[in-house]
Amino acid sequence: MKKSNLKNELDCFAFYGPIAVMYTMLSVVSLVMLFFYSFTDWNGLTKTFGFVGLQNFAEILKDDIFIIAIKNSFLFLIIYPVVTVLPALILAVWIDNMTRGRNFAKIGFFLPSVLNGIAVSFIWVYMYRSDIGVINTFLRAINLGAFQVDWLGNLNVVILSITVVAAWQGIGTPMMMLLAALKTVPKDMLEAAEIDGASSVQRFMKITVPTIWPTLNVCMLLAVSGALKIFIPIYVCTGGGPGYLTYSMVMYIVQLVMDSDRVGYASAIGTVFFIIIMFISLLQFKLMARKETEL
Amino acid sequence: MTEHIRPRKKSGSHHFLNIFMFIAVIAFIFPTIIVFNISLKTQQESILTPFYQLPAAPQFGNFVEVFRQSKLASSLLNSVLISVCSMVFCVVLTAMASYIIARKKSRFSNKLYYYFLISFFVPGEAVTISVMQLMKFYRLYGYLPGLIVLYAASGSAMAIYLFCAYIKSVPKELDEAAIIDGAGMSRFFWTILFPLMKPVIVTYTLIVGINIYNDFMTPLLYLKANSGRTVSLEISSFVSSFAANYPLAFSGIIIANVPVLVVFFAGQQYIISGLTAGTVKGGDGEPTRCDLQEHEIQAGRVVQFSAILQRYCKGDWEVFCLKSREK
Repeated sequence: MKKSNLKNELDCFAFYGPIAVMYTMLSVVSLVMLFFYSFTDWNGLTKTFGFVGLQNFAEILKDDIFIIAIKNSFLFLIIYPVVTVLPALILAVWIDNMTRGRNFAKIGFFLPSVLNGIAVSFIWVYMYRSDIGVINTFLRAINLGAFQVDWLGNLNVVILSITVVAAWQGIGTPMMMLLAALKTVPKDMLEAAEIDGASSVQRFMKITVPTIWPTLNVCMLLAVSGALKIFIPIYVCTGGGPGYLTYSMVMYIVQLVMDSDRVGYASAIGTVFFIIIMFISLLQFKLMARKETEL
Repeated sequence: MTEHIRPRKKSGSHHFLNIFMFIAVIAFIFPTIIVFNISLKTQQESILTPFYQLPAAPQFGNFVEVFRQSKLASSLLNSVLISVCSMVFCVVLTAMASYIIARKKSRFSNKLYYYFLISFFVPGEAVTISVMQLMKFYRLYGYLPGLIVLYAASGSAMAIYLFCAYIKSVPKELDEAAIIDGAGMSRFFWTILFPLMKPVIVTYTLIVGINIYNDFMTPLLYLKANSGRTVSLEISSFVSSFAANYPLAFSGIIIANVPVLVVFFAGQQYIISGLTAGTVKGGDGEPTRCDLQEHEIQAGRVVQFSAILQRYCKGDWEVFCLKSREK
């Protein structure tokens, strides 16, 4: 009996072993090592290193670049969900009410989501160019030349410009999810409400929104985590510049990983990023969940 | 529930809505249209004439020239190979593991399941620094095949989650019938179960494969300058070397997106159903298990993290904790 058990376990291991080993060696060990390194002053080259306790974390608080990065990340966090989920909802409702050409509209708005991020960002760099760029040329053509802006050079708008690039690619997925959710809205209830004299706004707020709320909730969660991970548009459009003024947290992490020999400090930054994402998602989750029960 | 029951207003307003939406779509994908226009111009035209002016004579030669002036061909091949190989590698290995986990073949099945779910909680960006050190330690840093291992390992959590849910929906009688007929575990898996898993595998492969093809951060971090390039890296380097030559850069961009567009239009149904199928099923507004999968599939790793959070809220989390305490 025992022998056949062992044989069974060995057979099973042949099935799950390879991926379990790979997963352990890369994903799990990397997470453990991240926490471990964050308490050391290792430079990535020497064989020995010392433990410095929380010194790395204390240093983060005094790191000007990190402060800028976290400020920008929070700006993205505020802007990005607004410019993706809200238009996605409007588009979804609109497409849902269309009589013809739904597929065309769906594919059209989803298309940028599958394009290569680097390519898309580069296209937008051209769009934003202050001299021959599409947006400024367009503004000149309709005699609104006064509103021309150096979209990637002006520090007041650059964060917004970058967010638009990310949102152009990010709008398709929530739109698709919301469209599918809209199909589940009970039509008979909508009709009954209309007969009872409810206005279209009332019907939307009291019937449609509560029905699609779980999907909307997930879209918001996705948008928030997506906002914190915006990287490619920054890398291509501004490279983090001028100076470090458009750095986001992910941009800073990538720069530290590539250029720096301070593995310990970079790990501490990674740990902080991990905790921040965790915290924000939990917080948002609690807020959204409460609203859901109220409805 | 059918479409025509919905109260319609005057058809005139609907024509207006449709036409207006058509304009909105064109405006939305306008940047891609411009790219086509500019890629056919000469370099001088691209700077001197405004974006809306059509080229005097279409320069289709740009699409040939870009191959000569950059390593686009080899990087395209690299990217396609990496996407395909890591998908094959990941799907085969995780499907095998999912069979053991979902059918509780081993004593460790449950533990393994939750063990694989750990990486749902970890945003990939946060751990790059330690992954970098590990890749160097395993001598995988700077090699294209190293990326395949990395993609397979980091995609495994989602794959196992999806495949397990799918296998659980396959009737168990099938297993029993196969055993009675004398088929062993591996024979049953390869000849019966694996072919049955085709829908979930295709959906997973298309969505994650496109993500891998488009990925930029991983090759940027884990490849060396001389170790061959993926297409994202190649674009980012040639757009800076062609900084003043927009027609050439845009031709390259169009070519780089061809594979992904072909896959998208060929597998459109699978991709869109992968994004949305679950949402429709949960008609009562309560997210079902299916919802979670679909949401997870579509947006990478922190998505999964948020989906797990959702389960946490739905009380599934307590079940998870209880189960792990039992062990």
